[in-house]
Amino acid sequence: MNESVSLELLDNDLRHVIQSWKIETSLCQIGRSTDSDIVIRNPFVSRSHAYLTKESGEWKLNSISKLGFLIEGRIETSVIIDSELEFRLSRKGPLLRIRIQDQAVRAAEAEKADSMDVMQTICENDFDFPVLILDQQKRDEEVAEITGQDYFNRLQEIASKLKNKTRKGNN
Amino acid sequence: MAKVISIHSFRGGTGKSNTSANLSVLIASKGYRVGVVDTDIQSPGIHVIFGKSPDDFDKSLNDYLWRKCRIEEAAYDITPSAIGKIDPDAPTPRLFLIPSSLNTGEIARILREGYDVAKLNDGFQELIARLNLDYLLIDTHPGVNEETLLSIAISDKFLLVLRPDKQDFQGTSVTVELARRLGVQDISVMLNKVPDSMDRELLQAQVEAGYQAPVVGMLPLSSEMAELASSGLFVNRYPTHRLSQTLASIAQHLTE
Repeated sequence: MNESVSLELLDNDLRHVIQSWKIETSLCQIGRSTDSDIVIRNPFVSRSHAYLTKESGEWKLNSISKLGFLIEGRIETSVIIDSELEFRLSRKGPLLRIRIQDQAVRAAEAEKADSMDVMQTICENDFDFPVLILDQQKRDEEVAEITGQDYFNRLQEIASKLKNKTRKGNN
Repeated sequence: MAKVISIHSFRGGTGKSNTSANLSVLIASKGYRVGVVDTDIQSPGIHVIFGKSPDDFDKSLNDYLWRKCRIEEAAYDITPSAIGKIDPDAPTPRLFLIPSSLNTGEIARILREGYDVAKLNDGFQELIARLNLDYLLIDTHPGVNEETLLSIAISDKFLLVLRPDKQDFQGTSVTVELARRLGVQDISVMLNKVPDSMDRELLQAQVEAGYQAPVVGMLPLSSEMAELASSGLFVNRYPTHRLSQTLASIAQHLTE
């Protein structure tokens, strides 16, 4: 099945979608810190709170944070997601929903709702078949920016002096 | 001759500090005297993995950098808690931790004033001499800054930790190139948090082709590791787990 996986942040009381993310990776980190794949700025969310993963065809939510997540009034740390899961990150944290749907169904639904306006796609990289190909030009530009600075030349001097010294010390 | 090993990652969240802590235990357990320095002064954390709190230390790397103490005064022998009880007079194994300060005032001061990079280098050399170390592991700050580059420059071996992720992969390539220009010849790569669904051979081939450096270990995305989060030494708690076995083979590579 061509599935479409989304994570939605819901309003606490009215339960409408405030923000949603389309998951296109089999490893997705959810947390408060800005290096998370999905950043949720909420004081009840740990810096690195949970992982959403797809392993052997199954979607799983695992908590890294001691705070866990709340499902139907109980704190859990690991759960397999069937088609839909509503949960809170930590006991008093934000209300979230994960939905795994057939792509066609999803597309039809999206056409009706205008929630797609806030839809963000995270991690274009498909983790099942990662394509790690270097952008060499970008790398060389960034390297040149650093090596062009005075301190880099000083470091090169320090490094070569030290290596000579240790060689002498060895003899 | 003591060997200096720097452990680095381009971004936070790769498991670098956890890797550094576990590797330091595995290396010391081979019968060596090992020091592990937390130079991640802006967000120090390796002490947590060793089960220590800031109250356990009254001196830190910062005190040395501000010339308030000698470097060996900021080195704490954590052998009993990290490795186990040994004869107090036995020279090996020994594991020393040189923590960074968690005091926010101290962190702010470092950010405001910076510190003398040459002094940091002197500190590493003194540490090796005074504690008679076989290995000095440096847990560096993510990204590229002056003290990270210095740590890399004086390293005999350089281990990069990254996740199988495009951004990690591209960013890390810059550090690999800088390390080469600083004369570091022994560069190796550890891939962390690799989901089981990934094609590991393909992954390894891509990374090795991109960096021209060997992948010395691939660690699975582990729920046990995640549960331990940053409190506890994985290799002590789950010594037979495949993750511990992979770490052991990386420790072997680093001590060859």
